[in-house]
Amino acid sequence: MQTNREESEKILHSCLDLILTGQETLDSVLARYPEQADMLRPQLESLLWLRNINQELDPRPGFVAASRRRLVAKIQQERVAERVEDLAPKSGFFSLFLSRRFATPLIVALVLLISFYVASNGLNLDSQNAIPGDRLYAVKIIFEKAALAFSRDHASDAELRVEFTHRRSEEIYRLVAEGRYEFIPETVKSFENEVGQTIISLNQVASQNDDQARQIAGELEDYLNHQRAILAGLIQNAPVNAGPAIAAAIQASVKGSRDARGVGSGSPPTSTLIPPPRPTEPPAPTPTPRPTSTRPPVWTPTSAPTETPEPTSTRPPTHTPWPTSTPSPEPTDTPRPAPTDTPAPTNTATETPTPTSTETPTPTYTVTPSPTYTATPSPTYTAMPTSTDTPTPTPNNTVTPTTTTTAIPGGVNTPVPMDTAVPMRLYP
Amino acid sequence: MPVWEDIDDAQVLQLAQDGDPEAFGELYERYAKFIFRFLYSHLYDRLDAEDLTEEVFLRAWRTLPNFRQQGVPFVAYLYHIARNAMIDHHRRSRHTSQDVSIEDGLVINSNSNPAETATNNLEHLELRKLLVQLRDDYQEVLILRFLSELSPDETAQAMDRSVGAVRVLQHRALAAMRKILVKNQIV
Repeated sequence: MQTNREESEKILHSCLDLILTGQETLDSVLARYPEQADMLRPQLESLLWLRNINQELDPRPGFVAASRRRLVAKIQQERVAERVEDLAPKSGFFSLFLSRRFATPLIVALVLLISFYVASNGLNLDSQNAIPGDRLYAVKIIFEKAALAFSRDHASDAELRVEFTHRRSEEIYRLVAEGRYEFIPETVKSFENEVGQTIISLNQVASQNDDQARQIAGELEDYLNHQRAILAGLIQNAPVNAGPAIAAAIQASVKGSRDARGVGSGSPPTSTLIPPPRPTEPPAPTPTPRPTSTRPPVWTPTSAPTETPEPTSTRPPTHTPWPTSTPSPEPTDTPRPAPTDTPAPTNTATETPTPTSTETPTPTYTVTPSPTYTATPSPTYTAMPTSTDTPTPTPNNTVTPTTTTTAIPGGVNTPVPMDTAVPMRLYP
Repeated sequence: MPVWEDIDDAQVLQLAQDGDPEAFGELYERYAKFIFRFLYSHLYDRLDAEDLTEEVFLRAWRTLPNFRQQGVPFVAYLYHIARNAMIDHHRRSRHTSQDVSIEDGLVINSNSNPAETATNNLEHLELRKLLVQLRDDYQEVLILRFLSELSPDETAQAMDRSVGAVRVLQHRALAAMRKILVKNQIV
């Protein structure tokens, strides 16, 4: 019986393939199996209808790729949260060795240390792939700030800044490639800021070690030159509204290259950003003078107390007379001073010459012919492999069906809402 | 970053089980389309189906350490989760197939031609109208076998039935479907 069904299903599908590939029509294929034509026709008609509608059920173009990104970002976010939870004071480790009072600051310190370790060693942390608009992008920026906060000296600062300049550029490329144009202006601003900060750091390095500063500046300049070529290619492929932002990035890159070239040559950077003050050495403690021993107090003898005399009797008070009123003099009028004329001011102002503006030449950017940007091809979808190695179900996988609809003979009946089922779940 | 195209499903699954989110992203890329079709066949709203597709995979990720490769095939595992997610969705939204109007079902899709979108939605609505006239298990077998394109074995695993039972069910479901198509003058 089952073999017959398998056989008929095989015939059904081979007929369907012939029809779908356009090799045969429904009638011609049924003519091949005259004995089973009555059984095959309704089945094939239903199947064909379903197959035709199948394509309309596909997700929107781009949905899978976009939601994959969202899903992976969400998973990474959950994992970070789990890691932090694992370090929480409730865990056995902390409750064994520390009180809750000290555990929280220690966790914070540990997280900072891990952040520093991860960022400064260039490990491929999950968040490092994030670009503006991704949920993990904020984490990426926090890691960068942590790395800067823990950097040893100006040279380390400068190297990190160069790395972050790379990252901002990469983010711009990816935003263009993925069509997320709304985030480009913000990222270009970050790029400009990063270039400015890098130059500041480089000048600080130059004040201590000119050769090292020139070396890092050279790397930055090379990178910016390369980056401009890519940006010039991108601007041609990007939509019109993304053009100004990319052009601004090119301008910032030009300026960055020029400033990088000037590092160590004594010329001040053109950046208007004020360098953040690095912590200065605390003043050395000056020795406080040791207290000299003071002389012990010398006892000075005082004269012996003299005997106090006994009080003598006082006389009773005599009657005092009441005061008599004395006449006060009448007020006299005081003459008011007459107003005097004040002299009019003389016009003594001298004309000051107006400054003449000298026009500073604006740098002109010439787009060098560049390799055209080619978008990285998205991975092609590979068809779901047929499960040739499907193992036989293990007996313990008995899943209680989620719907408790009872089968009604005849096939066609009124629908039963799915939410009437009370499932016993083995699956989430 | 591995070249995913060169890695088969079992290896990608193993990487994902070892905690690699990118590997799980690759599994999503491979299976999302089928899960979406399954969900959209049961729902009127495309956006609901999209949201639920993501939810299904997020649930799968959270329970992935419990999944045993030698047990149920991964795709069947996903369909179990999808079915549960859909039941939860119905509970939440109290949307039943009967009380959704045609206007509710029409989803504006800005990414494609409006005429094409409307046609797609009308065909999807037609499918929904036909499917709801079938028993649940008939709907299920037709969706899994012919819309999600699962093999008889995978369908059997997803429906917790034997392969033979699935073949019988499929045969009857196609016949019942044909009756409805004729009744609605579609064929």
